[in-house]
Amino acid sequence: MAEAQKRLVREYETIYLMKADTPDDQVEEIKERLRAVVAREGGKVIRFTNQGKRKTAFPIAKNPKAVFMHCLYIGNPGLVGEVERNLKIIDVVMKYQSIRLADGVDFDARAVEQDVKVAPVEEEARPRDERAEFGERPEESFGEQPEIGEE
Amino acid sequence: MARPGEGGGKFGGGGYGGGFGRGGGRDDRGDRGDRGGEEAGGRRGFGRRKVCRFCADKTLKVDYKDQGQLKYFLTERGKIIPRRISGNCALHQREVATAIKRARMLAILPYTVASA
Repeated sequence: MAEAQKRLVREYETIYLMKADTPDDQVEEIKERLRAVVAREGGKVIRFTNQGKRKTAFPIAKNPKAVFMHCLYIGNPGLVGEVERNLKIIDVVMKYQSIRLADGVDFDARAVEQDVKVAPVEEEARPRDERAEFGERPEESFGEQPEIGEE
Repeated sequence: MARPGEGGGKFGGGGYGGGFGRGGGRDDRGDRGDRGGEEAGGRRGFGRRKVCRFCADKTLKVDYKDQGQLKYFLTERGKIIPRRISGNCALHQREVATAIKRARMLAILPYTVASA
């Protein structure tokens, strides 16, 4: 009967973007707030990953840069809604996105990990030759191919 | 009766010349240089057979957070490269497309590049 008591939950990840000028203590404060929310809803935060300040592909609310935070947690359905509701309230959070990673995760088997901080991804300038294989084809060439074949 | 034939001949000739012109243009840009010459005559030439890179390497996973990996499946304008060109299998092309769309929402990848 002991095995039947296994508590199965879902694994989620949320990435949220904060304004680039957010002070470090506020970043920590938001982390603790989310941790408390997840705990209150009966979930568990596995880890936070600070991906650092990165240039975004397009300006968000006129900000060319953003601090990317990644949060991995497990919990019941409905927890995501609560986490996102809290993120919406926080002013410095500009964008967020939650993804379900796995179903039927054993709650007790997943251990809480240390928060990590990774270096921001560098924007590498790729030389054009490297992309040679997948170049964009001129679209009109498809329409004209049958005509060429007829000759 | 003579007219359509004449017109067709003219048109076909124009198409041929245009085809070569484009082929040369592609070579200059370095795009698909491996089969540019053969292609001017339609689908007669057989290019190198493409394999799905995710099927070839089972350890490789599609990850929407990995900007460098996904850039490979985007054109310079930020459009998703079709399966017939990227060589992905249907399953992995679908995964790549989903990942690109997720990355766009987080501003990891652009929706569009204005100056391409």
